[in-house]
Amino acid sequence: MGYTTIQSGTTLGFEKIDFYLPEKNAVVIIAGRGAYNFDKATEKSRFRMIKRSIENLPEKPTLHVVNSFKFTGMKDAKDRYDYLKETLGIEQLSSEIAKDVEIDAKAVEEIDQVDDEDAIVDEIIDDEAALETDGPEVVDEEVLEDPAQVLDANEEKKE
Amino acid sequence: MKFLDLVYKSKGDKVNEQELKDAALIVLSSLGKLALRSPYVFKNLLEFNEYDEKTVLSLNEEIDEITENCLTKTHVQQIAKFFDDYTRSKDPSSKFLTKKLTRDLLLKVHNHYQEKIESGNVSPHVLNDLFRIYARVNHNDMQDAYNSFIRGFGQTFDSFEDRHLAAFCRSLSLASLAQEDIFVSVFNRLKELVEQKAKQSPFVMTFLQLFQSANELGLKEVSTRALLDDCIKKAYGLSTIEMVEAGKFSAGIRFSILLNILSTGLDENEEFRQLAKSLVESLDNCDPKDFKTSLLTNRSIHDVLRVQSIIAGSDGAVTNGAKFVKLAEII
Repeated sequence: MGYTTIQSGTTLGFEKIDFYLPEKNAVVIIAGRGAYNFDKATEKSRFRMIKRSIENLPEKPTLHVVNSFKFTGMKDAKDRYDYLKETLGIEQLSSEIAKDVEIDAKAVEEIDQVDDEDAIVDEIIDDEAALETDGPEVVDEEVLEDPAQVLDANEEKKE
Repeated sequence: MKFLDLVYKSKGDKVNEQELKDAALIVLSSLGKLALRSPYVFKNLLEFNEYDEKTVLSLNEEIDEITENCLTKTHVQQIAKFFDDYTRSKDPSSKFLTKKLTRDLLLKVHNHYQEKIESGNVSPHVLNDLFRIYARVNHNDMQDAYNSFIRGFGQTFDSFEDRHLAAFCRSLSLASLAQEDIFVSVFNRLKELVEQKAKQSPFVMTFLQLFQSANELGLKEVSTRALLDDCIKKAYGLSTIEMVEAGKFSAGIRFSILLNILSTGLDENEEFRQLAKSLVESLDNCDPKDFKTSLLTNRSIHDVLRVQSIIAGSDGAVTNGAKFVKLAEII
């Protein structure tokens, strides 16, 4: 049994990841609110895309996802330890990685809480930018963005 | 500090002053509340405005009064529109409107108009405006508000036009609420409207928006039906896919659809795989400048790289996407 190197906060390809275990070519992601639907369990498609993209990187890493809601919700340290072992699919787990993952999962939770105090404008801009399309020349394109507004605008023009 | 002065000036019987619209007061009052929570602003308020501590603290109660006054005197439609516009505004002052504050404010508006909302006495526009705000600040402690909006939606469902339905589903997606039953009802209603040819609206875009919203939540069945159902073809001669393939949409929209297909793994389905192929090919044929401008103006570079990564790793399952890869490299 040798040591397993754990790199935290590295970038693999163009994806920034939480943990990378080079000997095992394994990636560990701590996933929080941005990754799951309101039920804190089913994944959003954006997160699935990120997962798929990581799995398709030239290194072809094995991907492990730690659900931060589930992890930080466990009060007993042994439960957390078992959950990590199960999630990472390994029999032995060094205390370092357990500690690191714990810190990271807590950080994800804290970020979620801090987020509540942040202005919502940035998020909205991001969200709308994600939906925005090419420009005003074709009305249909904007409808994908917000049909109600475009149709209203058209009606106003007609008037 | 100007907004605080406005809040202060607008207290008490001066609530109807001309320079302050009723709806604006609601937001201003919430900003004032935020300011009172900030030690820095609080200190400045005391120093620069020569208010004593007691006066400043008493503002809190007055602000509550102002808000209540505004809610009573203003039409719900004005409030919803102003509130929604303000939360989307890029105005620097809107940065004070945090999620928590927006939630407080929305709950206040909700409590005041709860009966009206639940009985379906508000228009689809108003319901959508308020629900959109709810979607942005969705939280566990807002279950009552959510139930009211859903009840209101149920009551006014028949008066919702296609665009309202799509907007409601968009908000559900924004709030990460995968309510499959609602999506299915909306899909069926849209289908009904298409079959009735209720009006010459660009229904196909509504279906695309439904596809996108459902897909973001991982509702594969609804998103598949929204894109593959033949009702559009029956009514307008071309199916949604055929319209996409015929290049009826811009590079931005085509990329959006491609991204949605790849992200949920819909390309396992043969029809979607074919569509993804033709989308990649058509994006390959884009002028690099257009590609760069249209995609990167509105998309994160990561999305483009992710799509490229998925295409490259799909062993030709989608297509080799050689040109697409080159375009991504240009970026």
